[in-house]
Amino acid sequence: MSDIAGSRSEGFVDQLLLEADLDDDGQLRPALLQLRALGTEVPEPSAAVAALLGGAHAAGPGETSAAPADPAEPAAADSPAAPVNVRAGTTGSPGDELAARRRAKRRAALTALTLGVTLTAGGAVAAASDQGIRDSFTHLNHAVTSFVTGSGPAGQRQAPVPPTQPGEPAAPAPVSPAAVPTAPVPAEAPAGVPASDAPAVPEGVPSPAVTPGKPAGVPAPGSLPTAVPTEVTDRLPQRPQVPLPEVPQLPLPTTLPAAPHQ
Amino acid sequence: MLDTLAQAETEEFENTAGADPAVLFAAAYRSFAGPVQGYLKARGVDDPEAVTQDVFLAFYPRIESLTGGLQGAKSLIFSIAHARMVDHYRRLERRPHLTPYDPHDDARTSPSAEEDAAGITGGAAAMLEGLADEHQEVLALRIVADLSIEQVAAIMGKSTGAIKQLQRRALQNLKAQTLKRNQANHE
Repeated sequence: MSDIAGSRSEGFVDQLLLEADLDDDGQLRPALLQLRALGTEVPEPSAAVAALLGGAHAAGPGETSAAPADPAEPAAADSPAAPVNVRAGTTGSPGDELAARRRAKRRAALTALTLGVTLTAGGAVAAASDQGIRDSFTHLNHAVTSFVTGSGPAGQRQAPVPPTQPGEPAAPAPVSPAAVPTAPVPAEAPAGVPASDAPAVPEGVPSPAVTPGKPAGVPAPGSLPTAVPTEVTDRLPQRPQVPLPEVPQLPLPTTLPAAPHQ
Repeated sequence: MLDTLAQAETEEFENTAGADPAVLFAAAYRSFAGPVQGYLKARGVDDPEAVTQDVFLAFYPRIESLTGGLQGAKSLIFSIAHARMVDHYRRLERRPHLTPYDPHDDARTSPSAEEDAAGITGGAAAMLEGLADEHQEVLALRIVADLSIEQVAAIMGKSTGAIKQLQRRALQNLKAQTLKRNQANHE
């Protein structure tokens, strides 16, 4: 049979040389035959391959179409278990560097994605924790809520606000959007304030007006009443008190002096 | 002998798409283990025997999805062998060459007179040295692995026309190289 194989190799080499227009070459032909002889030596199977070949021999080597049913069953039983071992062996071998490289690339992409998401989340949290931005959000929220709630009952809200302006000329102006529901309360406050001392008034006036609105504005009104309230608060209680009693009292004296003159 | 056996088994497995994978594996090993080892030897891979076993171990799990009988198995096996060879050379590129000098490992010796006299295939493995990488690959796949032009084109990712051209140039270069060697040996 080696003669047949040799003649087949020679035929293949001759055909190869003929295709390359080198068919009359006397030196290349033995070199190609020598090169082709490299593939004639079959290596001994290793332990893992021998195990796989052993399953095949149990099933009957060379019997493909007429394989009996009984030997085929152990081979079929071996085949699901064998690929697991084979895959474990191949993945552990240094030959599968391509798969390992792909896995490493995938891992690097996942790491970069995770890092990006983490940095974005951290930046968002840091930005949200800033006081100014939070205040701006609360301002915006207040503006939106006041706009939405104030647009419907506008006629009702505007009515109680004017009475507060004569009651408090300084405080209601900045607090007015937040102090709208509590407008009657500061209107009553100046009525009780003039009974106490004058310096106690500035502390009492802003506290009911500011507490419903925003606590951050407490020091700001505190600075304002120090200069203003001493005069204003003295005038404020007098204005509501003086005109109210004078209006009923004055007409009476005006009519009375008319009598003595007569 | 192996060629005729492989040819007979190839014809036998031609229409056995649903054959038992273990039987197909055994037939593939008997038919192609020698050519795979010869191909790896010709390409200068370290420890070709171990890599041959590794190729067949990687081939076994893919038998289930194999089509084309033994011819399909042949293409697949040499595709795996080609990938292992490429991995080998990539690994060599990354590996620094820092071996200390050892006179026993010095390869700069005169060729073995016994090999020259007997014409043993030991010199055949080094026959392709000096050729371009693609020329070596085409000759190894065509001559040692006994693959067709189409199969070589599929493995190397080129057109059949490109493979024919590569094969022609590789044979011409091999001829020139063989002439030089013969002249050097005569001198």
